[in-house]
Amino acid sequence: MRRLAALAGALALAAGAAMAEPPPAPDRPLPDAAQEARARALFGDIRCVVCQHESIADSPAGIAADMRRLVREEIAAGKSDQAVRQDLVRRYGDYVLFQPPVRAGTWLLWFGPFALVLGAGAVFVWRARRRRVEVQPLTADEERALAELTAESDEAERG
Amino acid sequence: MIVELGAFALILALVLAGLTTALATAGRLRLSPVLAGAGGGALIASAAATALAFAALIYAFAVSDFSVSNVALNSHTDKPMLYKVAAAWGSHEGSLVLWCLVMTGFGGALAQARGLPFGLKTSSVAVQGALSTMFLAFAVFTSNPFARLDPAPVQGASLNPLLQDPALAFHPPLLYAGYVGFSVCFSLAVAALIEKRVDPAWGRWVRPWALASWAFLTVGILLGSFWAYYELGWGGWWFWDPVENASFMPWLAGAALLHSAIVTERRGALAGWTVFLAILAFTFSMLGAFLVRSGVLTSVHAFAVDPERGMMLLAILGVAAGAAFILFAFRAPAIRSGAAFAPISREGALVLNNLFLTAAAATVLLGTLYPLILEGISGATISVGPPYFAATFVPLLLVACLILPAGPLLAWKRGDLKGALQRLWLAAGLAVVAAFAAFLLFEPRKALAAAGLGVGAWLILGALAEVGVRTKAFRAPLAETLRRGKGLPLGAWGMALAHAGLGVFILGAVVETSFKAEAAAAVPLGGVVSSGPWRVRLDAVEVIEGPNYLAEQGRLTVMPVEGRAVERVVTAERRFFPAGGQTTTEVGLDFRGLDDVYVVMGERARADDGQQAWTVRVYYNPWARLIFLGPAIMALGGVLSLMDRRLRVGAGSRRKMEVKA
Amino acid sequence: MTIFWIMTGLAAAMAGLLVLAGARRGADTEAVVDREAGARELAELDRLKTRGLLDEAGWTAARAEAGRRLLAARRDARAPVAGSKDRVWVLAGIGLTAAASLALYLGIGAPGMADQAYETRVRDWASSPETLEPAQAAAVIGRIVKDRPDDHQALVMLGAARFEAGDPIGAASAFRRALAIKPDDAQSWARLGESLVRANEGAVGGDAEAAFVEALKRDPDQLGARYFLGEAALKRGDKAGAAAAWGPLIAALEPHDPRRAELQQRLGGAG
Repeated sequence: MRRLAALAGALALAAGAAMAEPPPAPDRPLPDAAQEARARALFGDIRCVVCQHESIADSPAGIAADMRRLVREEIAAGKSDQAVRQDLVRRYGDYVLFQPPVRAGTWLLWFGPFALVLGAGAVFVWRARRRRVEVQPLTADEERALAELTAESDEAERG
Repeated sequence: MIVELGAFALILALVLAGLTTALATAGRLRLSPVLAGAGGGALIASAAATALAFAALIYAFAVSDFSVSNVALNSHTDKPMLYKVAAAWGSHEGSLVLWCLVMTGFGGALAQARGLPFGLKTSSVAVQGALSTMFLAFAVFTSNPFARLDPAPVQGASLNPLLQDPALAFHPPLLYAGYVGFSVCFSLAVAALIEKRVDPAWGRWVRPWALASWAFLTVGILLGSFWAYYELGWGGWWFWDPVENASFMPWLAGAALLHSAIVTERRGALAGWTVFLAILAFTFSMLGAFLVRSGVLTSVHAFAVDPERGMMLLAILGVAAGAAFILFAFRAPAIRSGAAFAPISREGALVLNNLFLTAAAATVLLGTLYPLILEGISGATISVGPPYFAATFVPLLLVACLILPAGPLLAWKRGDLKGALQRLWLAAGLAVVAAFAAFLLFEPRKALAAAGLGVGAWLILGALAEVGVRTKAFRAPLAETLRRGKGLPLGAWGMALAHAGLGVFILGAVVETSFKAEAAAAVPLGGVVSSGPWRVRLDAVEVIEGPNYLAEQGRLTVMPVEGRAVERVVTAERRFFPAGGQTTTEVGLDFRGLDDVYVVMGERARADDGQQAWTVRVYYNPWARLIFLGPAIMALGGVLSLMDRRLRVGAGSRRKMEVKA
Repeated sequence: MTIFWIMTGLAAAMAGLLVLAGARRGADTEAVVDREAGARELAELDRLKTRGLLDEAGWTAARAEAGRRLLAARRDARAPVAGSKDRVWVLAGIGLTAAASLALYLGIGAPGMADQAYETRVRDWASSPETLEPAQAAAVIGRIVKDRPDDHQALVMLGAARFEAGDPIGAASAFRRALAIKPDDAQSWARLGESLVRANEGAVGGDAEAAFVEALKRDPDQLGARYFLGEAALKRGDKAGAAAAWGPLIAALEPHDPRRAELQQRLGGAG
């Protein structure tokens, strides 16, 4: 009877169980090596839209596999890299590309660092030109004062 | 009892940190050596109390005391001892105690130091005490690592199995030593602003801290990157992921700081700029902690995430950095060094270095925060990833590297560019030859990659040339060269080593990025996957049981496609951790000279003929060894510089005193 | 408890001593430090010149700049002097620190709460085996297994306890080890299969199916194993296999048992 009780428990369990999601089918590379290489290069620049900061090249998620298949299909259909990117942006928004678009809102992002180099470089050159490098050597008085300072130091050390 | 003693010690540390600031401030205002000294003593006592608390926490983890909520959430009795102990700093609460330990510990070292002027020392101890108070209060009031559970659960809830890795066990302590080491630079900078005194003596004080922190940070980032490389199983080592960027920003600012501090130390120039960088480096550290802990950015590395704690960290960041920068704005105009230099000079080269390093840090900062800010302002969502950094960060870095070898050959004050270039023509010629050779030898031919290789070679050869010039190699008799080499300060060796290490890293990064190959296929036993010049055969798969996981372990043979290289067997695992229901990969790495053959066991699949098969991924990563070797050499260079006698402040004069006494 | 308070008192006292030691040591006087720094800076310029990193003119100019800055920075030797009441202030600070720490700790901490090391707790549970929850029982038996890794009986008990405690993977691991010692134990094969099914959220995977087959090979009366094998066969659409597996099971059930009807209906429905 104990065995049957355990069986009943098992029955209840089995009834409530959900089918585990089957693992995604492994990728099928394109037969043309050049096209496959292009596809792989693109994968690295495309974000898996449900993942944290991962490209579809790295992500094990199902949707990443779907996106890889989509990219491969489009490339096989003869679309250029640019067209594939545009298709993805139309479908998922700018968010899908790891390379942000260049537009008014992203000028600071794209050109800020270079502007910083040029601006700061200009200021540096301007200031360096304005300032004289030559300095009058120390006068005898100053030398004496300085010697005193160092001598005091020796005294302090001895003391 | 030990746990509760730890809880008390942490609170004691907090109150002592507050006492530090109170006593040191009073001592500075009343010019009292007794009060000031007591302030330093309080910081040392605070460090000791934090150490006691940390030891108690490690004990709680080691004996699996699940009545401590932190242990119950982050440990499990099945975990190997190393990871039980490492879990003590793997959790948010524990990592914060570690952070506070480094902060008060370094503060204690600052308080112990001799030869610092009274005002500067007392003020910096006060500032370090204030920083420690804020972070200890954060730990005690919002992230108490010693919170108890009654009744205690029977078993712990384990830790992210991805973190069960030796590299990651030691990654946080090193990273934190680097992050928090910059807090001493920060305190010294704020103290210098308070005292209105930024001179070579100050530069001499800041530089060892900057060097040590930077070296720690280098090794910490290196371990983190190496962990990502072989634990995530993606074949990559740097993803420009927000959390990686968060640790890279203080590293870049720190690198700029330790160069600019040289100018301040030797010549008294760039004083304001060095102070600014010292404040910036620790601000970036705090920003990094905020980004990682708050979860405002999504990342593969973000494990412990809590918005409320994020707000607290943001508040601390705002108060500390805000106060420092406001003080800087008011006091910086008053800092005049009076030391002039020509644009072509050692100082000028270091200014250029700073310009590019700061701009590089700006690209990382913008790339990390821009999506967040843009979404907040306009609602538009964008992603910033590798292509952006390839277009901005990489060119900035490469231009900086082109200039770099000339810098160490220029004299201070006014340099002779033509002379420096004349000494470098051999290195330059060899670098160009190397680039051409690379262009012809590597398949497929890539001009940009060849140029990158040339830059790497240029850095290494430039460093060699610098040492060669200093020691008169090949120009004087060997004995003379050896004598000169011996006489060369350790700092000079350290610099040459660090620059060469950067070159080594660039060689590895360029070759790996440009010529790596990847293949994946579902293969049955005996099936073969080819990638680059290597073929990998799946020989056997067996299920093995680890201490807290089940694994499918594949045994694979790595064979050359052609040629007679020896065959080697590697094992790769796919582990399942039942406690958290997670799956991880253990990569099979076959080291082939400088190259890696990197094998990942994937999930089970059915082959075309219906046979049982496994997805096997093979990455061929040429010269990947150099990517991790380069930064290690750089860190070693930093350590060598740190050992330079001239940086041991006060050591020389004290020894003299002892002799005379 | 008393020991605990003595220890906290000691910790506080040590902290106070460190503060007092700092107060005793005092601080370096500014003037001496400044002078030493100045001398060192000038010496450094000389060194740079000898190493060829600074030419003659540069050395003269740099020396002039540094010298003037040093002379200008020479301030009145305002040597720090200890005030008469300073020591009192330090002592008051230490007292205040101890009081504040104690107050905060009483508010936040759990004074006197004992450590609960895992090993100690398991030992306590082992001394009162009748009142244990499944998870605790699993921990106690786990301890026994650690001492006697080849004890088949203990391993089977560990598996059962872990299964009850909701740790099917741990249970499967225990049954596997038990079977490694005694491969003929049909009951353990069946329990291994059940553990694997539960770990797999109810689905009968390949491992579990193999385990059930092993169980039936050794004991055809393992009805639980029969049930799951039938399930697996049905899922594959193998009606004959399901009927073969469930036949004896249906025969064993009471005629009025609702499960009997359900099984029969499912066998019919699948066809």
